[in-house]
Amino acid sequence: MNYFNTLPLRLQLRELGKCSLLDPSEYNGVEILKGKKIVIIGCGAQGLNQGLNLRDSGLDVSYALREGAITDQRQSWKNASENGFTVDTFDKLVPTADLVINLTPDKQHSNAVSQVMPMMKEGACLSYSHGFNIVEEGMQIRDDLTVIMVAPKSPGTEVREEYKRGFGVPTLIAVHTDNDPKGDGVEFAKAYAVGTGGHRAGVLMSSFVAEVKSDLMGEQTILCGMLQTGSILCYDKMIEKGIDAAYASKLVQQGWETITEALKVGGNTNMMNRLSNPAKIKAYTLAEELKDIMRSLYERHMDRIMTGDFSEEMMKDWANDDADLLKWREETNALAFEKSVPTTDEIDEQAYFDDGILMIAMVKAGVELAFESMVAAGIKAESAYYESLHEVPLIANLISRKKLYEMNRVISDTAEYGCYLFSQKSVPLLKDFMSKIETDVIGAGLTSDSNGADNQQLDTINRKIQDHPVEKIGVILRDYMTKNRN
Amino acid sequence: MQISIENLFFPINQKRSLRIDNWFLSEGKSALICGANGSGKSVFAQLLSGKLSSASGEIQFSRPDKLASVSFELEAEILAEDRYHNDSEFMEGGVDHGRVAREIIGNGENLTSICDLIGISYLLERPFKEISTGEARKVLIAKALIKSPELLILDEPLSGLDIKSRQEILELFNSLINQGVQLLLFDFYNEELPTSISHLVYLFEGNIVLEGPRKDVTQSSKWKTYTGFQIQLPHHLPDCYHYDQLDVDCPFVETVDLEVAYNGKMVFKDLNWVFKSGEHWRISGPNGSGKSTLLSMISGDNPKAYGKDITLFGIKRGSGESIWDIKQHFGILSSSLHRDYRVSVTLLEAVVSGFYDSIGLYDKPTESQWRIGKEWIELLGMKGREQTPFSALSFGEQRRTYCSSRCQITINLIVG
Repeated sequence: MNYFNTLPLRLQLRELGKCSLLDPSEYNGVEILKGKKIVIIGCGAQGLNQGLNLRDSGLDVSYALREGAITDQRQSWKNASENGFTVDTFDKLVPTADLVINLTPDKQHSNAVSQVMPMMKEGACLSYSHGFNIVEEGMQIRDDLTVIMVAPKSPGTEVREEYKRGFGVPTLIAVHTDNDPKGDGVEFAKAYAVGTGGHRAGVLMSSFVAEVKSDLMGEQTILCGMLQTGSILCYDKMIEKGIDAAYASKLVQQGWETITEALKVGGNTNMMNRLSNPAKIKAYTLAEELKDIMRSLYERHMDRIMTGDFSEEMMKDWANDDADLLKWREETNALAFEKSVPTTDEIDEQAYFDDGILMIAMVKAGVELAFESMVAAGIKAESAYYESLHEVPLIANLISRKKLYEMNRVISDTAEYGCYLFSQKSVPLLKDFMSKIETDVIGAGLTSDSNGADNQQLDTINRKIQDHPVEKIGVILRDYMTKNRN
Repeated sequence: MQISIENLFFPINQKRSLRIDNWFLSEGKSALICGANGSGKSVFAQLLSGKLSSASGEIQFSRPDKLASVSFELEAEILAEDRYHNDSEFMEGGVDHGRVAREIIGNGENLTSICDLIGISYLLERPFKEISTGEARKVLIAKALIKSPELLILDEPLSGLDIKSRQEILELFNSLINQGVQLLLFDFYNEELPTSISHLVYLFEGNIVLEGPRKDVTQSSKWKTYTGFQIQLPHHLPDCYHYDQLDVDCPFVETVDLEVAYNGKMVFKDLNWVFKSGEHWRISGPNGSGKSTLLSMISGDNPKAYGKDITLFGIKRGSGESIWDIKQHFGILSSSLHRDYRVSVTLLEAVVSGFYDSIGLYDKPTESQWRIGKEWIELLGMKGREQTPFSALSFGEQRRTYCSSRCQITINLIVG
């Protein structure tokens, strides 16, 4: 049963609205975890690298794997033991653990937690990195157990690299309100975040509910859904207009990563500033049009996530051996863009901006719409930022390395399922808009070389870009995430 | 092949540019191109190998397709590609080891013979990013040779190689020249550089100042002026930052029956070592013998140190200490750490980061730390360039910066 739907509105609002950046004075190192037994379930990139960091912070870490993984000496077993960790089966390690960290893939949570929970000792702590299992699947956890969430907002390898440099990655923490019997869940979550180095890059105190609802929204709309839609539409348009197919292929595949690198550093403002004055005005206007057309679609996704309709539909497909998901995945594989071969010629970094005005407009519109829809639904700006703008470069990177089919295959099942639902609606929705698009905004760049612009118009647009709430909160959060606070 | 350059101009940093008005090298002629750190060697090599394009001027080759190169930049490029394609997040076990040496070298009929000749056949299936510095050099040389190039551009090809390997590679270069391969070798001048190369070009602050037969150039009166010691050692080094002294009776390092293996392959075993305060140790061995592994065991960087009997500065590894408790006691210089210094900081920030053992600067340094940092920069002869991005410095300048940053912390122990 969907946990969120069991809450009265008052509590739904309270949970959704939880999100605040912790002050450095609120940490007490890893004290509460010192000398305690930490057992990590699962040894993938997050599991292994978080474990290495926690141990380097002076904590006692071991790995519990399924018996099969140990007897077959699978890669997860090899990596944990090669790194000098104790590795054993669930029944050997879990009963002694003070903190059990569940870092299995999302879809296995139900199984893994059901198996582990009865073995856990009285009063121990169970940690998640994603709340789907609790919030959407409604997993009930034993009353005596404390349930927390610690979710570094970066890939596992980066979690390790940043720690070794003496820094960390931004991290979201939460305590499951229904499972905090001693009231010290937050202390465990903070200490765990400190152990992985997260406190140096900023820790957000959120809730299971806010994390799940915002994560689902971000991944299916601006992140995967919008980039998939944009890739299809931009590539097809360029082919229709006679742009060289190899150039079009590379412009789209590498373009998302190049333009969102600017986004990562300085938000929409910096990304838009990479354009000439006339191109910026053009991109702004296109983005406004896109927002008008797509707003209802974004809101519909947010609504279906809030009601639980989205996860219910998806879980039906899980129960049906992923029939829809696999069918849609194959449809993605058949796309013209997917089959295209990119040119090996170098494209200048600036050319991705100059020739990709429409792509920039799509990113800006998508980021703002996802952010606005989340905030309108009661999610705090901080959460909305991390689940929209912050993660766009990560998905853009996947597309630049793997195109759409592989991108979808490697992201979580919830993201993939939502991505297909979004793009199936958005591609037809943008048909009329696309019919008016020419190569000046995608593929060839503006025809005039002049950088001239109307001062009044440019000033108004610049203000509108930088005054958007996603930009305001972005400046604060990015400042936390980057090194130089001196 | 024939190379001619006209009016070549390339800015190296704010103060210095590489400027070559007119240079000609005739068909088949090999040359040594020497100079100090920051003289423009690497920039010149990269312009020739097409990795950089000049701001103005022209380089003409008779057959540019038959060219191959070896350089630190090439190594960095390969490692960056591996990082870009890292699929750790999607692999069971969460570790993507990247491409193996064989994939880096590429295919060619002569693969086996080249690898046998260079002595790297044993490491072809090992991940490139996990082999030692010297081994990586040899892989790059093999990668260059497999293309059967007519022109080889070598930027410090011998660096990181052990004595035996240096001899072997030098002999290899000599025999390549005898087979008609043309070599352009960029390095600090040294007698041992391949004797078959008789032509010497000397770069000074971005200009070719001497050129001619090797013997004539090195015996000329100007040679001494250009190559003499340029750094004057100061009366004292800048201040160090002080912290609680260790117990003097406590050894820095103590290992009992230390054994390290990777995937069941032994690196070393039965190591019982006590390293006391006041002692100096040199640990030597050929490339790939485990020097870096041993260093990583005592620097806190190797996860394998857990569960072993290692005591560092009186702290038993795995007894609940944090790695930062250990790292505060020593400075470390190593080529792999220099390689990992990939963050956007200024020269001054890079130096000051040494106070925190961090790669990049994440803390707020004190006034005196900034001051000490500036003194080190002056000592390095780089005054006025404090705000230059670290990444924009030449390889040698980066290395100097990195060394000084690690020297200024509480010198109890410097390893490297």
